[in-house]
Amino acid sequence: MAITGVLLKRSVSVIPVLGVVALIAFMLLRFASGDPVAQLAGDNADAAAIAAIRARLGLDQPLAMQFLNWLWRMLHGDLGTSIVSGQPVTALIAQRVGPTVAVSITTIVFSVLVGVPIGVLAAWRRGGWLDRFAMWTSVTGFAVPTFAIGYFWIYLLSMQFRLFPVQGYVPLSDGLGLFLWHLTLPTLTLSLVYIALIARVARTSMLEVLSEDFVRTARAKGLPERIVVFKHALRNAAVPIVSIVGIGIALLIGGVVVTESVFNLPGLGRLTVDSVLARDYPVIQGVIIVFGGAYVAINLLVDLSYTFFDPRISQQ
Amino acid sequence: MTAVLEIRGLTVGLTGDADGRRTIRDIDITVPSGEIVCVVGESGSGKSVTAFSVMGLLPDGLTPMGGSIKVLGEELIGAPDQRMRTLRGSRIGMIFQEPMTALNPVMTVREQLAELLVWHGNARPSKAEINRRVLAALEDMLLPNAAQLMQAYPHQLSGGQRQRVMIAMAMLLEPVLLIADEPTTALDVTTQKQILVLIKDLVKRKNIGVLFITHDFGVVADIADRVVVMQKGAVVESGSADAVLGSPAQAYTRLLIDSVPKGIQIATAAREPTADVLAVKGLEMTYGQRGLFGRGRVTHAVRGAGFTLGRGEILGVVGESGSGKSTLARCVARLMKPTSGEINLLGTDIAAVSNATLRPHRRYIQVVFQDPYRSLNPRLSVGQSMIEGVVNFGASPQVARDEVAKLLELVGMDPHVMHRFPHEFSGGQRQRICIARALASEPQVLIADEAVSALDVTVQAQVLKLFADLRSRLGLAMLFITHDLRVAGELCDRIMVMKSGEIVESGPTADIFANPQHAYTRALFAAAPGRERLQ
Repeated sequence: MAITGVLLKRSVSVIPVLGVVALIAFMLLRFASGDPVAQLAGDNADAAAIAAIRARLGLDQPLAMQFLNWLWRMLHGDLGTSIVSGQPVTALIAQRVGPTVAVSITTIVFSVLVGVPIGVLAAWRRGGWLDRFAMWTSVTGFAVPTFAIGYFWIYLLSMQFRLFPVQGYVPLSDGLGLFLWHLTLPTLTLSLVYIALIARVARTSMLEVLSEDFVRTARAKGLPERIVVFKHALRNAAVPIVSIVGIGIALLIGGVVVTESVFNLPGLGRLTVDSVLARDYPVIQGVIIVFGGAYVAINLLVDLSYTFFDPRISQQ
Repeated sequence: MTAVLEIRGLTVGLTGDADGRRTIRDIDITVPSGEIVCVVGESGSGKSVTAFSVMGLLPDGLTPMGGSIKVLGEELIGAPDQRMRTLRGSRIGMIFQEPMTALNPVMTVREQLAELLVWHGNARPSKAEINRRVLAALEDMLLPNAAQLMQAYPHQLSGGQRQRVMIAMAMLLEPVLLIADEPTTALDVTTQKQILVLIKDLVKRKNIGVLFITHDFGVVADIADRVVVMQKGAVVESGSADAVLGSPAQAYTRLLIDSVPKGIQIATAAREPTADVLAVKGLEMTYGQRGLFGRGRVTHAVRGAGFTLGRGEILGVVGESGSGKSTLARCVARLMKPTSGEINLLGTDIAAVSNATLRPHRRYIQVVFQDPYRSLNPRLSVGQSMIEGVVNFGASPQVARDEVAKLLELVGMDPHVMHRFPHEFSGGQRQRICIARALASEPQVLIADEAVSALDVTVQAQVLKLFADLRSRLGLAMLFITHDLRVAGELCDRIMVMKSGEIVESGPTADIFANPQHAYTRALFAAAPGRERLQ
């Protein structure tokens, strides 16, 4: 099957998933306690005022109608208006998406660049010092909570050595150097757990592949060891590694919230926390939809990348 | 005539092992150019260790302890890694048993061959030059459509094509020595024949020396110029093929040659017809289904198969890979549900019944599989594995224990081994245990699905004897699935030959051997290795 065919088929298959995400986002908050309308109307509002606001927001209609209306508007790029600030949700998200995307990308890129080689080399020299060191570090990476790592880096690299800013965010438009300089500590903080995760999976996957017959063939062909390991073996070990990177991106969303708080980054994580505390339904829904959509898109990319790494998969 | 490979006094042992245990001891082998030297032995004889010593690719923990390995006079033991890497691929080529797993599944044929040219050359050749040489190498192995094949991935090729690609790869840089480690063992018998012919032809055309590792004296008889027989890490006999095959000096060599199945029945007495225990009619098995848009592929694994099996009768089902013989066995055992047809077991049609209805009938039909290493649970003792089955059919644990002890005796094992774990047994012993386990439910029909294919020839002969013995003692009916016509001939009363899901020929063993009707059956006979020389 041609690659465009696969792309089309997989893309169509995510539509029901997105529908379910939308439904859950919609229902979740309807069942939550606390009435946002009462909150919005303020302490002095009477029943008539509350009913008027309810009607204006369309919250007096049957649930199914509310959902369909909401879905219809969403498909036209309208995620509603924040109950608290009165700004459109899309605008709020657009303001905040930059730092989150920036930290996520630098974290994933850094984790892959460090984690994969560590895992590969650990498997190649199984039982050696690198293997033992890497596995010991990865246990630490899992065990220490993100905020503790964040404060550790701030203490060591900002306060003791004065290498990086303690907190804050500078957009890319102010210059690449400044942008990356501010992102270094958040990235180091967030990556540790992903490096641990990726290195472990890469090691396990490589250990399996390195014992396969074709690795022996590659050696029997007289290829240099680095080609045997990084070309023949790693490409065969890639599918589990790519899967875990995909899962990692999904988990990242949780980690980003904490990291954004520690480093005072104005990102989506902070927006989420603030909206949940204020019961700002439209914003929460908007954030869920954006994260859900991003997750589905990443999964789609991961799925498609399998066919690139393993030609046997596209045949099925 | 010059020697391309000279092995003198080679000894390989475990690294840092002070006990003096050696994997191979004091091996002498000479491979002259233009000749095929076969190293024959059973599993654990050290033949593969010998081959990998030459490549300098011994598994971790094994290391040469002494002796010399010379390729065109150059000493390899103690040669620097860099030099060994250069020699591998350019001066010594190697091919392996399983061409599917020996090729990298995610790289095209072209990529895998081109690498050799890139990494062994001084300057990187141009793309056109690479394509030209890869194409020429593939065409040299008589691969049709070589230009298209270059862009294919290994899974898109047949077993024979894959092994030809492997040989093309090994021969690409024109080595003087080709090491072949059981290169035809995993192939169908007709494909094996073609590959053997190809290797013989290469030796003649390119004047290379071949170190050919095999366990099969049939293959030896077909291609060897010289033979080296190994047992337990030592060379027990060597000499010209004619001398070793014609008048072996060692009893062990004689035993190996005699164990090659020749298709002569162990029990030749004609059987009296008995009541049918199993009758199969119009059995069909179809895999896959039409896709959502009607483009799905459907495979007819078995088409309209019908046969009967009487009490105490052994029916052989012979075919190559993809012939549908294993699917047939699985359907009859109801490990899978056939698409349509009738399977009449002791008067009940079990073809379409639900699993719940099937359960009481399961005990009457049992299966022994090919790989005794993987069909026993490694974490259960042999006794536990077997008692489980007996208890399942309603016996108390004490009764079950006695029963299991009896069964182990029946298959020629000491009942005291019951508390041991599968890894403590050899392949042949494990297969005996699997047979005993299958017998635990007192089945009427035993299905042996390639049950002797993974075993060494001497062990294979013993297990075949055990089957014949069980048949006469228990009156067991057997469906004996095999790819090897010679093995079927030794054991079976009747033989069915399958091809592409259809039974193309069936009849009494003696008739099939004396006068095969179908062209395919005749092709199978013609391809059987060692036919002329060993009879």
